Amino acid sequence: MRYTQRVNEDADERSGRFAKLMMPHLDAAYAVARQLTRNRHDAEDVVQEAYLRALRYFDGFRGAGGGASDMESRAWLLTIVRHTCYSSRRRSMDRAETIEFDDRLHSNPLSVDEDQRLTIEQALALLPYEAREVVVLRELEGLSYKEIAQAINAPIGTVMSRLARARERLRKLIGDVAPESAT
Amino acid sequence: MTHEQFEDLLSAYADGELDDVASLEAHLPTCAPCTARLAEYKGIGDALRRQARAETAPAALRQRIAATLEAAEATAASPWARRRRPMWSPGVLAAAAAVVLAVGLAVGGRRGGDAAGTAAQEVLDSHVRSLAGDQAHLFDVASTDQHTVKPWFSGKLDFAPSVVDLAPQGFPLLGGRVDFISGRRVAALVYGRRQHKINVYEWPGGNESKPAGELRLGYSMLHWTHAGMVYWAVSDVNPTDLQELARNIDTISR
Repeated sequence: MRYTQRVNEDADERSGRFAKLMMPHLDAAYAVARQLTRNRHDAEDVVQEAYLRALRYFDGFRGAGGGASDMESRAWLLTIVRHTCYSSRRRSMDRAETIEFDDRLHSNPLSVDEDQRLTIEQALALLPYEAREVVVLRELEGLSYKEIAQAINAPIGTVMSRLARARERLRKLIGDVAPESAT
Repeated sequence: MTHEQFEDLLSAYADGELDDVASLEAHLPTCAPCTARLAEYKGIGDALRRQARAETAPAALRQRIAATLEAAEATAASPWARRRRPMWSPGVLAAAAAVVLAVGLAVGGRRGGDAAGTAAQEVLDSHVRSLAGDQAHLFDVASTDQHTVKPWFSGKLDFAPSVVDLAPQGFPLLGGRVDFISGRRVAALVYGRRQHKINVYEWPGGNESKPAGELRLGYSMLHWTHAGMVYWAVSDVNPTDLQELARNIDTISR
C-alpha cells in the first residue's frame, strides 16, 4: 500500500504490538463502558477514545515491549476505559438530555412495579456512579479489594462497605433468586 | 455476633476478602436467610458476567477503532507532527482523519470507487442509525435555537460548524450531535422538512465542489464542499429539497 511506505517502521511495529496486546480486550472494554455510561452510544464513543488514549500512553505501559500477560494488558486498558468514562461523564454533565435521563432513573427507583423484574443491567443502571464503579471493578474486572482501593483512591474499608451496599440494593431491585423468608 | 453483623460480612465473604471466616462459616449452616443472601450475591456477579459476555462490541466499533489507530499511528510517525504539536492535538487528529480519507482515496481509486463513496456509505449508515430502532439517537442537543446548538459544539469538535436556523426557509433546525465519519468527529445537524428529518454532516476539508446528489437505498444524499467544509445531507425527502437546503446553508452560513 502506498500509505504504509510513508509510515515510519518503528511506529508501524509499535501499532502492531499495540493491536496485538489490546484488541483482544475490546469486548471487555465495551462491557465496562456500557455499565458505566449506561448507554451503548456513549459506550462506543468512550471505548474509541480510550483506545486512542491507550495508544498515546502505550510507551509508558511496562508491558509495551512484550512480555505483558493477558491479565496485565487487560487491567491496563480497562483502567484507561474507566478514566475515559469518568472524564466523558464530567463533560456531559451539562448535557440536558443526560440530566433528564438521570432524573428519570433516580426518581424513586422503589416505585418500580413490584411485578416487573429488572434485569441485572437495569438494576445496575439505577445505582449511583460510585456504586456502579465498584461493582464493575469487582465483578467484571475481577480486582481485589486492595486493587479497587488503589483504583478509586479510597480506603479498603470504603470499598468493602460500598460493595456491600451496592449488592444489597441490586439484590432488592432484582428481587428474584430466593424470596426472602418471612421472619 | 448478631445475625445483622453476620449479614454485613456476607459481601466480603463472597469475594474471599474476609480475614476471619471461622465465625461466619459456623453461622451459615444454621441460617437460611444468610445462606440465601450469599447465593444471591454470587448470582448477581454471575449474571453481570453472563450479560457482559452475551453482548460483544459492535463490529462497526471494532473497524472504527482499527481505522482510527492506523491513521493516528501514521500521523504520529511523521516527524513534523511530533515536533510541532502535542501529539494528540485536535489538529493532529484532523490530520489523522485526513490520512484516513487519503488512504480511502488511494485504495478506493484503484477499486474504481472513491473516498466520497466510502464516506457516503458511512453517512448513510449514520443517518439510518440515528433514526432507526431502539438505539435511535438523533440529538445530543435538542434545540431549535442556533445560539444554543452552536455553542454546544465548542470543545467537542476541532472546528466550528455552521449552525443556522432555516425555519423561515422551511427547514427548521431541530438539534445536533457529534458523530463519527471516516474516523473523525463530525458535526451532525438535524433539520426538519415537513414530517421528515434531514441529517447534515459537516467537517473541514476538501476543495470547493458543487452539490452532487445520489440515491442510495431510497435515500437522497447530497455532497458538496463550501468554504473549506465538507457537507453531506441525507434524508428521505425529495432530492430537490436537499438542493434547496444546501443553497440556504451556503448562503446564510458564510
